[in-house]
Amino acid sequence: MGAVLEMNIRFRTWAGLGGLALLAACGTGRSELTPLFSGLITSYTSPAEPQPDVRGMLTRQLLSTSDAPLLLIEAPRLASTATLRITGRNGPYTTWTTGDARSFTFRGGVLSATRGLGDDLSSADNTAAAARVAARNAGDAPRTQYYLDAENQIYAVRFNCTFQNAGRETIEIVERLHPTVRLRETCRNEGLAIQNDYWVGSDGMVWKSRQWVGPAIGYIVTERLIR
Amino acid sequence: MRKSLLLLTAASVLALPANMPLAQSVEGTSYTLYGTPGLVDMPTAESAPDGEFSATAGYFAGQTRTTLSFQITPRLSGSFRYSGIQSNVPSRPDTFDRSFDLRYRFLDEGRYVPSMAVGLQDFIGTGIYSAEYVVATKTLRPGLTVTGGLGWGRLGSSGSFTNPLGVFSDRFKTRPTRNIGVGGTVDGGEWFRGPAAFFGGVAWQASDRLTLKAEYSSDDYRYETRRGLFEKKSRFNFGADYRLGEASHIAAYYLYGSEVGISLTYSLNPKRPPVKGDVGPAPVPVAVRSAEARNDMEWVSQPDAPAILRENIRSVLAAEGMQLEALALSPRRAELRIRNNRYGEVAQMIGRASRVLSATLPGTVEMIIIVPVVNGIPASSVTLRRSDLEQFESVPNGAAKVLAGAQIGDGLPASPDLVYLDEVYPRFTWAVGPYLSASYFDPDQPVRVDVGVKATARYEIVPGLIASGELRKRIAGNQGDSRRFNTSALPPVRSNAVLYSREGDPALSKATLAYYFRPGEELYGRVTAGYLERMHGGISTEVLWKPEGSRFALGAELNYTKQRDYDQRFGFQDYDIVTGYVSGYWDLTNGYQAQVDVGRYLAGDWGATLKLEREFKNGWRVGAFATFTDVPFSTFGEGSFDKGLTISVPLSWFTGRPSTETYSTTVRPIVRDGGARVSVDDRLYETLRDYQSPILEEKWGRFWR
Repeated sequence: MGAVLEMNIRFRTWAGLGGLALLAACGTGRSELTPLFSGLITSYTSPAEPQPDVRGMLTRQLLSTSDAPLLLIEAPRLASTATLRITGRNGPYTTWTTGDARSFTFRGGVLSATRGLGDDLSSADNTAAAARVAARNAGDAPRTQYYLDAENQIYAVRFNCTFQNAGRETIEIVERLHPTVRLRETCRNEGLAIQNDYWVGSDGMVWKSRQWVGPAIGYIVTERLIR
Repeated sequence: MRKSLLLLTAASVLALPANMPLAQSVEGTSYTLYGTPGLVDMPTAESAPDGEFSATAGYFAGQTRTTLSFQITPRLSGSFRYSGIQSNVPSRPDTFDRSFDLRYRFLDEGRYVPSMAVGLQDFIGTGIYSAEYVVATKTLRPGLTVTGGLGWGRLGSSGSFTNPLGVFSDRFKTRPTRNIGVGGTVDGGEWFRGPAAFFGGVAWQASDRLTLKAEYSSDDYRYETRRGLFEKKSRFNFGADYRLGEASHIAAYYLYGSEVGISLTYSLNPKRPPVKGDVGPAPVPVAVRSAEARNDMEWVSQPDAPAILRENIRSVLAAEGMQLEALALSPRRAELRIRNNRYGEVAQMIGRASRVLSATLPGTVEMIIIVPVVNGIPASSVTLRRSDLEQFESVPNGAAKVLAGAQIGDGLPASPDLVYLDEVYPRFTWAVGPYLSASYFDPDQPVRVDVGVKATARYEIVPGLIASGELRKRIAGNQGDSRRFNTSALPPVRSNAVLYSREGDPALSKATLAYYFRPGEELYGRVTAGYLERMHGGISTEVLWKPEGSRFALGAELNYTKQRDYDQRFGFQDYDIVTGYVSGYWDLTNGYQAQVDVGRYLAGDWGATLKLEREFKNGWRVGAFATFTDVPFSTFGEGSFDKGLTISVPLSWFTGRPSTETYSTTVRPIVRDGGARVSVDDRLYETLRDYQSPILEEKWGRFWR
């Protein structure tokens, strides 16, 4: 990464390089967190390799060694858990990436895309859902999710969704308590019913969520470890 | 340059029910001993799922049938079969036979109407299994189907009656003997003629995995019983089909009141890959420029900026499996020639390149022109607005929005400022690995295999000029043991394969110097000289006219070749010939591809090749071809004319990881000397087509992957 950093210094205006430099920094700068910046897909593609117990390693003391945002994602159907760093910001979208380069893009805490999982969520029209989550309010919010079929053709899955306020809940994430409101998003179409849950702080921060990626990957659980 | 078509509009983004990908049946199709969808020996009107490809090996009473079946369209299926029929009667030798079937389902099942199909069994060649049928199948309740049909030929040989078609014409009442000749030809003169008989049966899916079948057969098995293979005591057959996994079935049968049979089926569907999508590393997110960066021209005056930028771009592209070959950079525009080393899907390559470029190019650059390079020449160009990349990275269906603003072009003319990187040429690569070579249908040994080690080397001297070679050393195998020698009346341009296998060890299987060039816009050229393939060497030249975005392309090829010595070192035999073809390539819509070649073939014969392929938008291709030349069928010998099947499967389909690797094979029922062509690596159309529209745009969904 030497050349990139060098260039970054010479051309300070090339903000884009920051993203690449950050990736390098993740690998070398935070030694304590390195084992946690772990692979999500490793156990999926090579089941023989035991996955590190990411949750078991997490302590607040360890997390306090860093102030960079950190997210935990569990993908039960892939039998995988990983921590993720922010690798990209684009307008309302934030992309988080695991140590083995699987990425998840969120719009205000609502999942918009995944990469590197296989049957990925290509993109999603979830503007209405993101607005409901940010405002912590109930009501309707249609959404459309886009996927690729096995012949690389884009297809859309449309849902009618309703948000309900499921009440106040104080949740614990690695020894820290967060007062939240739990929002439940129930979505239906002709063939499918899914249910997403968001635990949202008073400022609209999604501390925890359970969201549907797609037919093959199923649900993921997210927890915000470092704000 | 042409404005790209907006293919991925709302109209093509179908709103499917969300459970669609889940609802695909996993039970799989149940196949007969003949390897076609059906009961035990008798066909049904059922079709396999569109695109399903199956291999069945079946055995009963001294008869082995190995069948490849393919659901060519949702209604049309085809099968190719290789059968061995033993004989217990000294005066009748064992028989080995190749047969082709076609089945067309002309009526879909409704609430009251059954599905109905018409079929031709073994309609080319010697016709041991030759039969025609019309069949109806109705699902009575889920998992229970009943089938009834009317058969002619072999399927009208037991329990038969006067052909009901006889009411139209007396000629239907008798079935003429097929004029076999040297085999390989279609003889429609006997179809649906002669006695007819009913057949039928039921299939009951007893459990998730087990299907039980019973049938009434109208096949008298005269050919086999005359060879003393079994005694036919009944017209009823019973079977149990057990699904072992997603893809394989095993079945056991009780046949004709006296025999036990078994079959194994393995099926694949290109539309159902083992790993869907891409499990390779995620792409680097797009870097969004600040408003300030977009107008900061400071870098333009920095003297070492071009060198630093070239190195940075080279390194970020290399990390994504691409090689930057040349760069032209101006304050608002960047043109990059990039070699794709990783992505079978070109749209994904373009998308990956775009992402890393968004993070590396100076902020003022708005127009990004990516020119994929194949064998040193520009294969196409994709012009993207950088602000589109920033704006549409994560928005709903952003791939379609990027395509709407993209221009797909020809790759020419090149920017005059284009500077090649110093370290790219010359480029030397080599590899050592195993090889496996198989030949089929030798009656003494239906599959012959050689395995060994091959070493390949490739030296790219300047863009487009490539020296390459391949050496092979056999370790084990029996291809050279065949006793099937050339009996051809034509110059033995292909039929001495056994001698090449026997004497070529080690063999210089290829050694060529090739030059690829662009004579102008829409034009591509190739000159290849040297030892082109193991049997022939010389010079091969080709020109291709392929307008970007056109579904039609035209090519011309002219070759002068000499036949190589059997030992495959440096010497040649006396036989030399000028061959050449004019080729038309037509990308039919809906995933079909047609090719016609007209010209002079290796044995000096004049004629034409017709090839038709089903092409899936994930790289799978399944095709059939036939060549007819002025060589009379009787002179050509067994098979009458050259024909075969081609299958091509991308490695990434199995692994879910991007790769340019593809496995291809051609299966010919018989290889003879008529209609043969010299085999040259990297013919232009095949190497370029994926980089250009319409194919590039058809798979654009991969752009943001």
